[in-house]
Amino acid sequence: MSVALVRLPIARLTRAPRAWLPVAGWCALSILMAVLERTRGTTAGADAVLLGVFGSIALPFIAFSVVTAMTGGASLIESGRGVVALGAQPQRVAAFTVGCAVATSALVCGLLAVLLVPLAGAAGNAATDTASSAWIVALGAGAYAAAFAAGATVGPRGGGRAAALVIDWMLGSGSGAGALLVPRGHVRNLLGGAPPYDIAQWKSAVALAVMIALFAAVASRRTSR
Amino acid sequence: MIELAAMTARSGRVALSPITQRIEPGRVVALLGTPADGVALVLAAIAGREAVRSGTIDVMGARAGAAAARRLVAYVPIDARLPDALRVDEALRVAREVRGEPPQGHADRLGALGVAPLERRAVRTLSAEEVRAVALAEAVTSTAARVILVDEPYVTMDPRAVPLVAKALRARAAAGACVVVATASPREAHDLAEDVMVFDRGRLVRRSPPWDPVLVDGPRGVLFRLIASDARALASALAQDAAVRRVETDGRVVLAQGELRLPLAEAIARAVKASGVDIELMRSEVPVLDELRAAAAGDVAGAYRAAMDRAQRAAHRPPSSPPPPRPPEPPSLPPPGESTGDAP
Repeated sequence: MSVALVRLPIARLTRAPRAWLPVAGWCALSILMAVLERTRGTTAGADAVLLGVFGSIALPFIAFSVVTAMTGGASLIESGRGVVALGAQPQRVAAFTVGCAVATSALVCGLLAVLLVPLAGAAGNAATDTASSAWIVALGAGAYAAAFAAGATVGPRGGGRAAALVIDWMLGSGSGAGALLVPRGHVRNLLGGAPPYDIAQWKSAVALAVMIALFAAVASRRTSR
Repeated sequence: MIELAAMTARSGRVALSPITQRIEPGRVVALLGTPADGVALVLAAIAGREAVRSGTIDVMGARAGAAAARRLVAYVPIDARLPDALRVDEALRVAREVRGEPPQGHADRLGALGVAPLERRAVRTLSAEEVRAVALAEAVTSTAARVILVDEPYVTMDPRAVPLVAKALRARAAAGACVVVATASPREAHDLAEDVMVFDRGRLVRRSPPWDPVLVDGPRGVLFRLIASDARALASALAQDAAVRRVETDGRVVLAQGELRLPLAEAIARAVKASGVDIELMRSEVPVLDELRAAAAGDVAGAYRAAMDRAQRAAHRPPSSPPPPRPPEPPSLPPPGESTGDAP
């Protein structure tokens, strides 16, 4: 049954080439910025790219595009109707869709980080920097995907995911307590930027993991029918 | 078995009054009424798609909407959905895996409703009629589904499937499934079901077999529609028969109305013989939904009109003609507000 429930979101992603266009666009922009940093010859090009265009813009938009593709541009509730009509439990359908979105976002963004760090030029040990950047970005992308999936349960066409993007931007850009509630502040902290509310990096990592579980639970809970 | 215990539900402007009913497996049950009467809402509530406000619905021993119940329920609403990014055969495979069924040939499943050519089509490319036909084919061929709920089985349905729908639903019922259809057509309810529940503005007003005189003839009595080679000759012959209350012609069509089915049919036979006309078609007309609901709900105005009609006919009857036989007593109405018990 579990395999059956992931067929639809995976098929939505793999059989709709248009779904990949925004993802490809953000990946291309990030790679371009990495190449520009390398040509400038700075010693911390990877930090600049990860904290700049990639971490603050491309990462959330890639996760947003993946969630939109996996829900077919509809709300999370509507996107699962086809499988629910065949006897599946709506909450399980939603949980598997969110799981697919989290895993795909984490994989795409993690692989992109693996490409970007050596390309932009790391200051220290390239292999260590690449590995640590990859898991941080993957964790952040997963948290974003879960947050957008929870947002996609709001509104007839899942317009709540756009609201989640705006809220993340508004709250997460600062360093106050509000930044603790959204992925942006924690991703920035883990990538070496200003920490939200001066918390330690390991706490941000835990917070992102908790966000994945929490937002996924909220998304599943709100899809009871 | 489906058990509704003082169940109420609400969706938009449609609200259901408490319903207490038991639907046994092995028969096709029709919920007769429009969506505004709540028949679609009852199906959605049994399927677990709409929340129950008060009371309970148990489906095969599990609460409606619970995982155990969902796997046993195949629900085909008007806006039926299939997994949009898959092909039809893949959607059937997903259904089989979700319900935990043994493998079956996809073409055979679709062939039950004559839509086997859709097997390799992408769901995205199907029309609404084709989606409904595939969804219904999945429902009637599922070995795990023991409750089949179909909203308006003949509406938005692929024309290839239409002639096979009744047979497929009856076969599933005969195999032990609870089959419940919602329809606004008294004729479809009469033709499809062995048990009819009449709804009026969210209230279950009658539950009876399809041969219930109220369902068959309504408050206006029996009505036969005939197409004759000479409608005028047939109409004049019918007009002379005491068993015929009213005759109308419209081109080659003759409408004959009477109190009881058998005397009216005999009168038509006599008139055909006397006039020497050829009959191309003779069909009993089922009352329209509003007439039927008025009769079933014990509508005061409807009852008054029927009584006035009878009184006027009695006043104008010639003294030599024999009194018309009494119409049969209708089955008793359930108490207003809440209906209980099984079909008679």
